[in-house]
Amino acid sequence: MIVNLDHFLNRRRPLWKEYDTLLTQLERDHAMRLTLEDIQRLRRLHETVAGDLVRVRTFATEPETVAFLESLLARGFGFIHESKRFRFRHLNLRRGLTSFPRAVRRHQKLLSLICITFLFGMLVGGVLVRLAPDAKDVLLPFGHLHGDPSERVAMEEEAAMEGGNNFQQGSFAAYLMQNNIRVSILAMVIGILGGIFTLIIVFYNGVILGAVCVDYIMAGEGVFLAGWLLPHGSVEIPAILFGATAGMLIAKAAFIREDRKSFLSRMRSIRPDLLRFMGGVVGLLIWAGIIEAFFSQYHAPILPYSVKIAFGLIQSVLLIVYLMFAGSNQTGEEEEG
Amino acid sequence: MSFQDPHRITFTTADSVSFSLQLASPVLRAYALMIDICVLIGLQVLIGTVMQILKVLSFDTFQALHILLSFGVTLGYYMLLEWSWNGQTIGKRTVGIRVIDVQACRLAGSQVVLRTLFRAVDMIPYFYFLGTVVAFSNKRFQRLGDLVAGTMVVRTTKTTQPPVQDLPPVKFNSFRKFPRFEAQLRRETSPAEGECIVHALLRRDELDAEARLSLYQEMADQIRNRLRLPEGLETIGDEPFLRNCVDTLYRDLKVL
Repeated sequence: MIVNLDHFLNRRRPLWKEYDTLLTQLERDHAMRLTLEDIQRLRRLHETVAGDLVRVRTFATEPETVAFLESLLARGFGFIHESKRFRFRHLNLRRGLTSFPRAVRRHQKLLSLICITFLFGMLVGGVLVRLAPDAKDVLLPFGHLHGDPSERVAMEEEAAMEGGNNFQQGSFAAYLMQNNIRVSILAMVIGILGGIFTLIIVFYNGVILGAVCVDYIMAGEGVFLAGWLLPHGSVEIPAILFGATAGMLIAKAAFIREDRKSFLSRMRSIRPDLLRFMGGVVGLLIWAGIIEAFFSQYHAPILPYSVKIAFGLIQSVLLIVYLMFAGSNQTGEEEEG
Repeated sequence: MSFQDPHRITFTTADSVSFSLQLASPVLRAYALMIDICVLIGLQVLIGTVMQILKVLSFDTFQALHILLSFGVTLGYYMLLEWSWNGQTIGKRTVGIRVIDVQACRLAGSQVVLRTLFRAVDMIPYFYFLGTVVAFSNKRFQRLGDLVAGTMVVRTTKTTQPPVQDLPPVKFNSFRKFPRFEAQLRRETSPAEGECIVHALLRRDELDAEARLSLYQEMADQIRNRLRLPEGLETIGDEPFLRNCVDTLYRDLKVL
């Protein structure tokens, strides 16, 4: 109990002022490093303020002081109980590279669902173009795919013979990267609406790919198609599917209540994996964008189709091996640490 | 954690000490968003202008850089600022709000990244419509990004002392003769009301005589009607009454 309120307030004010100054410094300078003594002092001042708040609250005559102490406590609480901060010096390359495939393997059932949806979309797209070739004008959003595949192949090869493609590869790569990253982010975040829109995005992308494949194969341009799509598609398509898998992970956490966990704790538990998926997807799409702009767009005779197909196949195998085995000998603690 | 008033959220620490934070309303957040959008547009224009000049050197390289920078700025603006400015962007800092963890801890990097990425779905179909609907449908005014990232937006609570030192000192405060009345006045006057009186007195010379008299009378009457005045205080004029109130409320805090 405080016998003399004025005396108590006068005695405590320098401590509150010191705590306020320290918090202001911390708020202003995000990278500020505290010494052990400073941390101990911060903690002690926090406890002092908390204790003083309880005492002053017993005096209803001090609403201003209560409000001031509450605001100090609220500001200090975050610093005292802060969550683990990201530090660049804590980055571990090996752990960073293996955490993504580990996350993919952990959620392989969701990935299977996404792959089945995608393959089903391909099947539908392929069947539609096979049964009604005119449907491709409706199915395919890209104007350059509406024409006759053989004519396009002839045009591309003629351009290659005349000295190669002189389009802007750099800006094209940049456009592809940001566009594909946007699509993958959307496929992921829209999972919060139940996963149905994620599945629709995946299915529609499958329809487009299926329609293009059947169209080119029917025109006898299967080799061109493989040489054109495999180098970048073998990375780009899986990346978008991984983004969608993350979307389904969100949908599952949002709508399926397991172990009586709250929404917040379900979301908290998937947060690290969502970031691992996004990190992996962004990395793969940057690579795919570079390959698509600087490699896929060059056709025979500049780049023989066999080279492009071999490149695409080797890349696919490497990606599969990476996803299946990278980090398989790591323990859970090693990854979390 | 508990809710008493719909716009305040109360936290209890491990030592059983509670403190409360005021939630930022969706309207306030919309103001912050508008400021951030203006800043983003400004940044995009700046990048566009610089790149336009540099494209003379190498069109393809700087066109690529332009595309990537524009995309990076759109995403990175919120991530970088909220992470490094303790949950604030330029807009949030201007209107006095910040993002915090739902347990009042500081934000983790993963939370900042996720709440930014989820802007894409909060914007559906136009201008944060879905996010606004979701925010109005829950107690903490959380949009979808906040729900997934486990964050919420609160008003910054740095309480500052009203500028009482700018007021001329009260030579004689007749309230001091009535300690019980002074205690009652301090108990029943909220910090906001006290601050309001201080500012009204500070703006004395900016107000017309008629408006000043009417304002001071209204403010003094509010206090008079609420408290039981001891004998001898009924005859004090409105302005001296308010000055005495300020002296009673803040004479200790002047030390702070």
